[in-house]
Amino acid sequence: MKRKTWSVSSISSLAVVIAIVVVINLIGTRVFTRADLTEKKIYTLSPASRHTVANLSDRLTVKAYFTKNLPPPYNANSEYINDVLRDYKAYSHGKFVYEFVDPANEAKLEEEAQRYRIQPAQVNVMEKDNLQVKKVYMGLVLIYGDKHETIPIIQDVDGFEYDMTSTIKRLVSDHIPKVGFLGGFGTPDLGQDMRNLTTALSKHYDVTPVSTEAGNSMIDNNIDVLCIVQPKEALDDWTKFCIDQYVMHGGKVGWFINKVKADPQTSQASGMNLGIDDMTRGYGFAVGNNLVTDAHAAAITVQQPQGNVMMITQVYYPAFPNITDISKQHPMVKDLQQLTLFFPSSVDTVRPVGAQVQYAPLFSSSDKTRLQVGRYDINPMAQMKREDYVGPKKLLGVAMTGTFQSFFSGKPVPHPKDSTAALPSVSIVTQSPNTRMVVIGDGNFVQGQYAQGGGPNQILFLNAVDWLSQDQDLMSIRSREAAIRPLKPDISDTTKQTVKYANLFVPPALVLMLGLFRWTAKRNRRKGVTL
Amino acid sequence: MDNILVIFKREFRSYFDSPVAYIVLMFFLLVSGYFFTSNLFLMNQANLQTLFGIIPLLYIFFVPAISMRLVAEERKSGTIELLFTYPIKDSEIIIGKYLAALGLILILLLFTLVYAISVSMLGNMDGGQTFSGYLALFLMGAGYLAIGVFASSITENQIIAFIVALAISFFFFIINKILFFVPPALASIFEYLAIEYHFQNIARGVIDTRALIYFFSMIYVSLLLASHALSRRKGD
Repeated sequence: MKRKTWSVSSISSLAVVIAIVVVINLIGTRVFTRADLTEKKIYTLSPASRHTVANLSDRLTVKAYFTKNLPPPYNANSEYINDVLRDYKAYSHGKFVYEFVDPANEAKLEEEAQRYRIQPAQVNVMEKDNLQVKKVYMGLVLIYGDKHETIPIIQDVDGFEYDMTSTIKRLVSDHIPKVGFLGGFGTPDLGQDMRNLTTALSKHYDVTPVSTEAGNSMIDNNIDVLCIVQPKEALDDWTKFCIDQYVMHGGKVGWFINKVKADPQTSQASGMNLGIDDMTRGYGFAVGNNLVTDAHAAAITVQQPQGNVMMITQVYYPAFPNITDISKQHPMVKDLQQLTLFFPSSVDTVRPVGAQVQYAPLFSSSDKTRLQVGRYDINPMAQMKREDYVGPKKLLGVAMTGTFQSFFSGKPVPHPKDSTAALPSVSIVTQSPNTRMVVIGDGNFVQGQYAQGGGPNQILFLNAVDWLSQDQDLMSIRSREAAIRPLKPDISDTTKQTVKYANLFVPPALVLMLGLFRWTAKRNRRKGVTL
Repeated sequence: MDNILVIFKREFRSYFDSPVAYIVLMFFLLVSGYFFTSNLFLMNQANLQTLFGIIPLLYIFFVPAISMRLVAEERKSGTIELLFTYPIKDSEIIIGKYLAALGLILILLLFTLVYAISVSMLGNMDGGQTFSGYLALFLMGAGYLAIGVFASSITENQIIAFIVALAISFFFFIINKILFFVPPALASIFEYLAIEYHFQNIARGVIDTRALIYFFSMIYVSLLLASHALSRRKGD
């Protein structure tokens, strides 16, 4: 009798204790704290982000449109995003507020999400033993005053902090960065050839043409980024001088240069002399006088007369290489899977003397490359001879940071192109502050039919401009995220083997020795007893 | 407290007086060493990610092997009755035995520091992250071990104790890998229950109170149930 009551009371007290544990866990999911032990504090809001939200002058509202109970792996994402937003809020002195809403069953919210251009995504869900495609929302909008910016879909939380902070910076700043495009010299027309691209760019940037034709004024240094897209004629000394001094004053340049002029209709191709090689070699790079063709290529449609009929066939066109050898480290390209370039030329790095330049390779052709120099064969109907396409791969894009040397140091100021203009009274700056350049051996990919809206080519260009215009702050977030720690590069095979066998056998051997030691000690003790 | 220490010393010594501990340790280290060394130069990364990937799996088999005899054996041989004659609380018996087995897991992890030392010589390893990873391994081992002690306390048969511990551990191990088949409404609960979810949280280099609460809850509840099971047995 006594035992029974004891047992019942103990079971109920057990239940109470377990219930308390469950409650503690429930509270714990809401009230918690973290300590980031990683060396670069990769799981903590970076100083750049903290600083940005701490200095908000007005209220910033984040509305996250997330479907509840997202299927894995996305369910963990919304939790992660919630954590990050909470951190932003914590550092914002009450200026940063956020809420999660589920537009699934509310037409009004769904409409609102659509108005912010947050489109639903399709994901596979297991429901009632069936694999079903479900419409889910996982985007958010940042509202600041009468301005707003959207992150339409967050499928991968890598880079989320970067996206957030760069978006906040854009929202709060009155400064809209300026992107200039060098005009003349056969460069493409902004309004026609590059209309898709300039439309996309003008969402975040002030797009402006840059001319060196008239007067003696130089390139304005309040232009944040200067793009030089595919000139087809040689640049004159004055223009080169303008570009050079723009760089020396800290300007950032994106070079999108081909060295071969090609007409796919007539299959005619010829080399171009742009007169820039001397100057760019001084900066640390040269676009090769060549055509990079690759057996790993895009397919094109060609019409071919066959008797009286035009036959339409698909052929792989080596002059349009498909690029898959893309850096996984560089923020500009790490999310891109494949690019297609059109009649590209190689980008060669030439380490300049006495300058501090760092190179980050962006992408290369495949090891089935054939480099054409001097004579260019771009006939799509020519039989592709596999034995010609044996590499080696060629670098086609590079990002450079550092201080660049002026091409004009020790030279006189050239006369302006406009012959009526007077020689400007300027002193030549011989070295640039820390600045950036991007060099891509193709300028076709940003034009007309080649720059499909939203496709990887367009993303590459926009990322390049973003990267060039970014402040150091934001880059620090990116570089933190790419925390890859390779082993030392020069480990010899003998060391490798030694390390392997040592790690495999030393710990078990230590255990064995410990055992033998204990065993003999025990045996000796026993002996001592029997004696 | 003194009682716990007495039990701890007695159990810990008995591990090393029998060949079991050595065999378990050596076998564990051979397997973990094999996976670690075969991937080290392949991945070419100065971290212990392969180790933190393989040990959770090894734990499922090794920890029940360590814990299975703790209570069950004494129960079968009847020596537990002897313990009951001393003025020792059931919870003290359980905690003492648990700490002894935990000591064995700690020693096991100490041996794997050989890997950490070699990696730190071959590249620039993130010390904080590695420490956090080891803490995660220790907490996970402690969690599985508590389950094992519970399993050992409900039966006299070591094999049954082993299988029960393995089954419960495997449940916590697998639960977030089958989320896809779980109704979405339950997915986050299942995920919270998953040991690997909290393990990863710490192993990546962040000490999170949520994960700590989870592990301590798991240990506390398991040991509570174990000492409850022991008390009931005494009542019979």
